[in-house]
Amino acid sequence: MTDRPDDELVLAAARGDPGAFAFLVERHHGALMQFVCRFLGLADRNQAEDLAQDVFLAAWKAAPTFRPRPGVLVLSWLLRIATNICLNYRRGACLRVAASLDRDPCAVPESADCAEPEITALAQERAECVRAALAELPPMQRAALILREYHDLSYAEIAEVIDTSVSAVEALLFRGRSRLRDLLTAEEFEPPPQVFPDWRAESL
Amino acid sequence: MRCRKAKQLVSARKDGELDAARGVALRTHLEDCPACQQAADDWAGVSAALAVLETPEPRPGFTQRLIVRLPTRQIGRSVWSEWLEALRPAPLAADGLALAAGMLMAVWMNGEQRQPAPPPGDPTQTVYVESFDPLPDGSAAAKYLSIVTESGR
Repeated sequence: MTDRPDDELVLAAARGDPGAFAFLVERHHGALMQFVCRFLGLADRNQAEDLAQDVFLAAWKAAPTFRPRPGVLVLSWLLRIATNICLNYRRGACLRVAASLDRDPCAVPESADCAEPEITALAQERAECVRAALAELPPMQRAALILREYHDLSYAEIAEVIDTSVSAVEALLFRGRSRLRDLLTAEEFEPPPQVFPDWRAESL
Repeated sequence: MRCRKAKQLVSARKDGELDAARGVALRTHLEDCPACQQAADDWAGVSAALAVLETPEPRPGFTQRLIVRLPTRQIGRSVWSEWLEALRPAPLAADGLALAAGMLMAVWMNGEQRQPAPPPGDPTQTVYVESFDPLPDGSAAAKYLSIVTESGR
């Protein structure tokens, strides 16, 4: 069962097989949790998990209408559902954006506190700046950027998720990156050398 | 090529999404444009900044908590739906089928109402004749008729 491709698991779920759906959930719950957290800038892990569960519940209900298509990932289908749920959630005015000063359990694990408090505090501060900058982006730019940077989706796959064209994805990513660069101040922009030693050495 | 477009192409090249033709045009532009050369560093810096965020993981038991919330799917109903959908593209065939079934039913019921034919016997001998007597014995009309007949004699 664990070796079955995603689309077979969705089709089995459409026939009412919760076991097959459980394998699909195990395979993708991390990615969806990450997307929900990043997109909404949630400060509450439980809230993010509830939304990730809502995504899978919606996927279970939508499974009978799923039609596998060549070149279209099941993950793209799930992320599309996640995007819609996140947008609806935002419209519900329940969003706690990343600009909140509350500590974000999504950003730094509890266990990191005891290691080196100064580095941890710096990392938390930096993470909050990045989440605040992400939250400033328009939803489409943010979704495209998250799907590219965190999920490593191709432009075609991103276009499938957010229902637009490949050329539009290219423009969205360019505008999103430009806006993020402007939002992040010079010192916030500079990554800690021990974490990212090579990023400025990347050649053209 | 304008600088804005060149920076967008640098962004696409960073993602491995730049085709050869546009790559050549970009290289030509970058040779004479130090500002656009800086764009590659800018976009790499944005990626590095985004990488600061830790990857959130669901708590253990995420899948089990979800599975118990799944609504039961109505498998039987979907089979019926598929069957009905299979009929839907051919409404004339369905109508014809219903008409044929109705005709068969009518023929069968007509056959039930018919009496079986009497067994063949002697045509000169009447086995049973059902007649209607308008003046049955004991009735007032029969008594009256007998009185009139006797007085007339």
